[in-house]
Amino acid sequence: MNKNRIFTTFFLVLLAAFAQAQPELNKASIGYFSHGGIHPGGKIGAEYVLSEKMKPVSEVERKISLLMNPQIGGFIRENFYTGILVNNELGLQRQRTDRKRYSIYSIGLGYLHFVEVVDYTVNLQGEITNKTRENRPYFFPSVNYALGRDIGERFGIYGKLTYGMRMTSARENATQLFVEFGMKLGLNN
Amino acid sequence: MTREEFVKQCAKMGIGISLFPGLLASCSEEETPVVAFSGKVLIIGAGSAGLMAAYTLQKFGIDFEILEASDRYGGRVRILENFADFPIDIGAEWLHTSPSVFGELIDDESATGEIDMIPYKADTMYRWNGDQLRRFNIVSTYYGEYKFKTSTWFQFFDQFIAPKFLDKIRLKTPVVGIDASGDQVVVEDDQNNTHVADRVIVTVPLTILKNNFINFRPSFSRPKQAAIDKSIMPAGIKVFIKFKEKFYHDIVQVSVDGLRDSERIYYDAAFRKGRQDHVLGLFAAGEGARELTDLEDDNVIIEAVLDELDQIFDGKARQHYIKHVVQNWSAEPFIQGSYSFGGENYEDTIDFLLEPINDKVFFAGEAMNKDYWATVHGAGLSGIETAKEVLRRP
Repeated sequence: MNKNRIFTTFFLVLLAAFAQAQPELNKASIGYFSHGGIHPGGKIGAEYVLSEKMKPVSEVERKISLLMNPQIGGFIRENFYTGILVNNELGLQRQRTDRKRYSIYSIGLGYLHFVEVVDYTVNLQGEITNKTRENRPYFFPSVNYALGRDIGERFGIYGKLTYGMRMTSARENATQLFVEFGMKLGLNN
Repeated sequence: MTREEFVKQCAKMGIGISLFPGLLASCSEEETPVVAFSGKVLIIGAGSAGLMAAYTLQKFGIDFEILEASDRYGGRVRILENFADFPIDIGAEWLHTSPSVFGELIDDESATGEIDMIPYKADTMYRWNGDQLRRFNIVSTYYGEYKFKTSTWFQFFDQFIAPKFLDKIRLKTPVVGIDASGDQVVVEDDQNNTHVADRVIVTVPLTILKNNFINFRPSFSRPKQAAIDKSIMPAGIKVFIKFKEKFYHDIVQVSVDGLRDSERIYYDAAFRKGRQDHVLGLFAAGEGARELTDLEDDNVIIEAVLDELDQIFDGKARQHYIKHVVQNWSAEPFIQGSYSFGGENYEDTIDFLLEPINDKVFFAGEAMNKDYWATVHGAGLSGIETAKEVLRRP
């Protein structure tokens, strides 16, 4: 698929959503963020509500919210690389009003930056004495799924999977998986 | 078991080691043995285990000699020079653990020297199913090993280990008999020469034990023989081909019918070496190797390899071919295979593989390391531990 077409589509969708809405800062999130589920890191994010509507389901209602979720995360794999992900997601949250559990389906566009260790020197005591690093920037379109639960009025927990493609003209594309667990803090009165 | 599974196993063991440091008893300084032994030791085999056993005995001032069957030391650690603009590991090539293991092997605070390493995490990984080449780059998130950048595994031993006792390595001396039934151990070579010592450390490849190349007296206990029979050392081959251009990916795993449980991997041998030459490596073990090792000679082997590469890369292999080298490890008379390990329930198996004969003949090798089996450093650490075991016993 043409990379430029993907970037442009994502960018326009996000821009249009942001321009047409009057975003309201709803929640902040902080969590454990890992590359592939095993290379650890951390992430913080904000959650804006772009629009909301209620839809009847049986005897209760389901709240469907259009969310925008800018975030920044970092992760590390010792001796191999350090990474930073800055991205923005546009997603739909579905939650029945009588339940605390909710799910969010979203698409995202981000900037993924790897600082890769390309070689290093080891002395005979097994200590690394000199590392050579290389910067590798990528575009990062993604699809995401999050499952969350409200614990109280202003507090909740969530787990999230991010699956995307890191893209650059310098080398081949490669799929990436991120796994995240964290908490969300409500900011509205 | 494939190398992928093996690496995962190593990762699990790595976690275990961090939780239970006692597992690495051989590596901790407080485990430095009280030397209760004084006498002569013969080491059979000059691969990683044999060289590290010798290095340890040398440190403690013990008299020893190494008997090596082939005309060179290193075993399955071997260098190919003058093929490309970088030296090539034509045998064991990867480091399957953190490079800090060099400190455990050398175990000398005053040792000086440096080794340039590459974190080996391929950028482009593909799988060939016999019909299509499919990308599976996401695996690279979980895959990561290390390789030498400007040197090789052989140069590690050649530069930092073997020079300390070169005069004690006797090459071209295949051992055919070990008699531990008397007060001393009598070792017989293929020229009917006898060598006498107080202790013997056997570090030959597992296939040599499995094929009864050496006659032991007394013979192995029944459980030890069963452990040897049960252990695995599959067929192995490496091929390196120099090309005019790089048309291949960092790693292509061949996963066709009949080979799914074995290994056949094409890889960019010049990956991050920072050199100009384009060299593609092939490493195959098990059935993935046997298809090639059973062919009649190297010319037939390279034709089969080029046929497969042309199929994978639309005829580009022969188009860009310059030259090749084939290293058929299964055809090496004193090796006869690739890497070795204890198979299922390997921990119990290893205990029996290590079982000495009459407290005089001891064993070491890559298949006998519970933490790092089937690896060069695992073999080396096994050699160190067995040498310390010899030192501890009067």
